[in-house]
Amino acid sequence: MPALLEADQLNKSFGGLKALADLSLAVESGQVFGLIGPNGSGKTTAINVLTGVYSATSGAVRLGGRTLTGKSPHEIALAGVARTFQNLRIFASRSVLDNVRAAQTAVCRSLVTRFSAISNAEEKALTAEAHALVERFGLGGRANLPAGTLSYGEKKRLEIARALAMKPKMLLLDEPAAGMNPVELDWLRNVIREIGSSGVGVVLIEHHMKLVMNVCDRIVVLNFGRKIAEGTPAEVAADPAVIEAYLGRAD
Amino acid sequence: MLYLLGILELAGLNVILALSVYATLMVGQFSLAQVGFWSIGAYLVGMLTTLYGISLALSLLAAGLLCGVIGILLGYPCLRIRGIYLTLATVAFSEVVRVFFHNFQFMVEIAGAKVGPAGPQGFRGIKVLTAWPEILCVAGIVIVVFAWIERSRLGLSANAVREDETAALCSGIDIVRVKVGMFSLGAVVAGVGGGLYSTYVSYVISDNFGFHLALISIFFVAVGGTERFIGPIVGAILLTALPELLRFAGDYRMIVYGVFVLAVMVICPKGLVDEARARLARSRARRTGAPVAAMRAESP
Repeated sequence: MPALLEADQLNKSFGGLKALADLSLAVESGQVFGLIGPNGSGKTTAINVLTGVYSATSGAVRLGGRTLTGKSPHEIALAGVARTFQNLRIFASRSVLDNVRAAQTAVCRSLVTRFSAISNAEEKALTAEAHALVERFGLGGRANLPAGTLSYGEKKRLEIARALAMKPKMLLLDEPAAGMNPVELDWLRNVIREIGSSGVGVVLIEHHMKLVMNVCDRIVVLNFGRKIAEGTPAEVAADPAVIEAYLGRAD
Repeated sequence: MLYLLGILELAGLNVILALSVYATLMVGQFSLAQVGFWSIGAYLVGMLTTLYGISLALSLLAAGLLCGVIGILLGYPCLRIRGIYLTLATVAFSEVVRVFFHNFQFMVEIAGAKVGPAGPQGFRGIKVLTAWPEILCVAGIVIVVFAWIERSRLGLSANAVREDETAALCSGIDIVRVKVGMFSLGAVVAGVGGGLYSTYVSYVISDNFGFHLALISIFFVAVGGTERFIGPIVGAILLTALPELLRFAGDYRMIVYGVFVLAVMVICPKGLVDEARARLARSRARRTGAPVAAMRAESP
């Protein structure tokens, strides 16, 4: 039984810079998988390669045994890999609800739903789902406002809601905690756990160590594009290579 | 009364042109190819109706179809490039079309007289088949199509592509198909509009379809707004009526026109309709509470 998401010997070079070197990882469904490392260690590059935004120089990505390498980002998204972005990418002039609805379109079954302006049963169900998601992420009162008017934290939540609207098998979160206050962090930890326990595999890139150690089942540490450690939070935290990468070596 | 009808007819044609420009703007691409499609439609419908006696409706359909196919063929390579480069490529396309019709000779003898596109002399004697009923009918259909798109998930996808291509891609939207589709729709609309135009004015010449027309078509959308389909409609009607309302100013009226466009660009860069909508949204946001609301502490 292969893991849900597998990366096999991924390499990515930008000219002479090797941003990823032989990165392999396997995420099971329902697992919360942390991807950490100092700035510039290749975490976001890894997510971009996994989602097809960058094409890998070499190596393969598989979802449930199916090869994703070489597919376009929208095909990978349709296969079940959703993501959020480190630098917010929302559809600013559309309403909060429409941001979520936009991500449902590609996965809806009936062509009528896709092209018709008159709502059918599936459309009604999808809109209800979108409302529920918006509500769940604490944006119910703002459903009809342009997403651009939201605060930073609200936009971050909207991105997660939009990613979940695709009913993904895998969710890749790129620094979701950045700029969140303690209350929001608490909330985020619960959400990530909830998503994991619903059977979705989660890859979490995060600098907020307390959150990472708290919520992750397994962690991979990158430095200069290379995996330097992998294991449970406790194992990783005790690993001398990790401590060196983060804090430097005591001479 | 005739004068008012004349303005109505012009406004209708301009609405069609403005919406064809808007179709590509909906996916965030700035295209000046519409003028090229407009002139292809103008010549083709002129020839089909005048030289071959084909009905206006069929000719318009043929023009829309031809322009749609050219739009797809042009769209695939063109939409790989973005921003100013795409705009330049589409200008080049319109120029190619203009130069083609500048040299295009296709005269047929009808009732003892030679009729048809005569190169630099233009195409005279096109049968007048179009007046306000035809124009309003087609403009109405085009408006309904755009209203439909905006209400449907197609419009949602198009808007998502405009707002953020990467986010749209990662939300499973096939952005190439959406972009080429909207570009091609714009081409169809421009082709049909051009066909109405030539059978309305009875005389077309390649120089009619130069940079000036391209600029005017952009003005419509810029003044009205690019976010909702109402924007270009408002812009086109306003900018058709404005020179007429300014007739008292005589030769100076085009200066006033220019100043008006400039003023709108400076005061509401998003266009009149979008600016109004943004203000409405802001006041609504104030009413529903401060934008930085306290996060609710309970778990979701």
